[in-house]
Amino acid sequence: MKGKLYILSLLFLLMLSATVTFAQRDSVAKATLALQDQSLGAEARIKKAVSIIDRAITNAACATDGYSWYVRGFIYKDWYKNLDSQNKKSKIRQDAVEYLKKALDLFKTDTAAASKEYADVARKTLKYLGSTYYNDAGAMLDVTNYPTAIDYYDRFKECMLLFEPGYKLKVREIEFKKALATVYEKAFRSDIKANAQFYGMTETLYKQVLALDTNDWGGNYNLSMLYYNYGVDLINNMSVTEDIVVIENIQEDSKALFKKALPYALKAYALNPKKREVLVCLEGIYFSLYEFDKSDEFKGKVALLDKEK
Amino acid sequence: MRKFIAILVTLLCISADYVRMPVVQDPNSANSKIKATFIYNFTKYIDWPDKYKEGNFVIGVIGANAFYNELTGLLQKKSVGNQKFEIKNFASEEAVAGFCHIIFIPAENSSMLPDVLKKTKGKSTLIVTEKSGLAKQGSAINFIIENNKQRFELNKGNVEKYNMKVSSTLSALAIAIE
Repeated sequence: MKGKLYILSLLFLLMLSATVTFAQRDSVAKATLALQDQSLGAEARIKKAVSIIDRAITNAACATDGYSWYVRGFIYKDWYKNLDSQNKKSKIRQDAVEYLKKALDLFKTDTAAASKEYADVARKTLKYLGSTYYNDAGAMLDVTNYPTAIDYYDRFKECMLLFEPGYKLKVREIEFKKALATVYEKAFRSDIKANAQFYGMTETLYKQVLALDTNDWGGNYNLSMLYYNYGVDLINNMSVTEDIVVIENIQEDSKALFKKALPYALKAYALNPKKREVLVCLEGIYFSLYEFDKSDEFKGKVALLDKEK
Repeated sequence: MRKFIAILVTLLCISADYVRMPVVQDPNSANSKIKATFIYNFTKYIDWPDKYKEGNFVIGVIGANAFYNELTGLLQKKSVGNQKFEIKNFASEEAVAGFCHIIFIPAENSSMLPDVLKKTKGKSTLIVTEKSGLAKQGSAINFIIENNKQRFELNKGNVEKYNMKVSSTLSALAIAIE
């Protein structure tokens, strides 16, 4: 008798547990239905879905269920896309990414066939969100907002690698580093004494670009220009009343920079001999090194190029 | 849920919109700055006779040359002791008039050196040139390029024979020419 009672209690608990689980799954289903409810406007529809899924996820069963997080991430993605995409600092987008990451994490141990499909959609959604991060990173590349741009670029990379672990980032990496370097360079040249730290940061980025692709024209040209312009700046920023000993030191420092600039400018020239910028750059470098014959040679090439146009 | 699959956005090309091409700075202005700074230092390390320590400190530049404008811009608010700088431009050696503490003959006008020397004979005028060999032909200081740097030759004899004195600091930094 005692044994029968125990079995009945166990069955009751199992039924209760199944009912609760079903109710939780039901909430998730209700959230997806709310998202599709065409009787409501976009904002009302999304807010309703968000409210349901946020409540559902507080249940223990949903909190460890990949599908629930997947739905939550998806709803948040829709929320961002429809109502918050103009907000470059959107917290909703960030939440969507976190929820989809959580879903993918939970799907790893889920052997159900449907989970693989959901994981696939989650990855594609992350790709979409990653792309928006990349575009916003580009839009925020300026002297004030560059830390956010870096953060967004890192989020873009994370999303793309979640979308496809072997995703080829090299082209984007080069593009972003060069763009960021020009921001650093602008900050540096606006005040080479107060913003001295930006010089090394710019140099590092261009060297990273060239490590990724030694034949990148912009990387070679921009690095040569960084050195050359800094060398000229050192002289131009010198006071005319500076002592004669100091002039010697400044000339020595500038000369070292002009010499550093030369191989990168020559490489850029070898990669594209018809680029006016690099011809002017070489004319300037050789002039600054007082190699006037070579400077005149490139001056002539500039004139010839201008004549051809 | 599938029908909600995100519409993929196109990745914008950052390089087109955000990468700026650096602008090449003019190397001429940097070279002018170095020469102007040297010339300013010559006024510190060369001593003119007392009678030249009144009025403006006059520097003449021979010929139409961008350096005249650069020098004027850099020195117009500076002075040597109580003497304010006055930069004059002479179209040719013929036009050299009045007294100059320093006369600068740019490289392209080097052939005018003999006539400038005639014009300034007996005066304490420091003749500064910038062509190889001119320190041996009468100029006191001659700018040269050595080891990719702007340097200067000093012919002490050509300074002292016009009653000017050269400090040991300047002599030590110069390439001595006799």
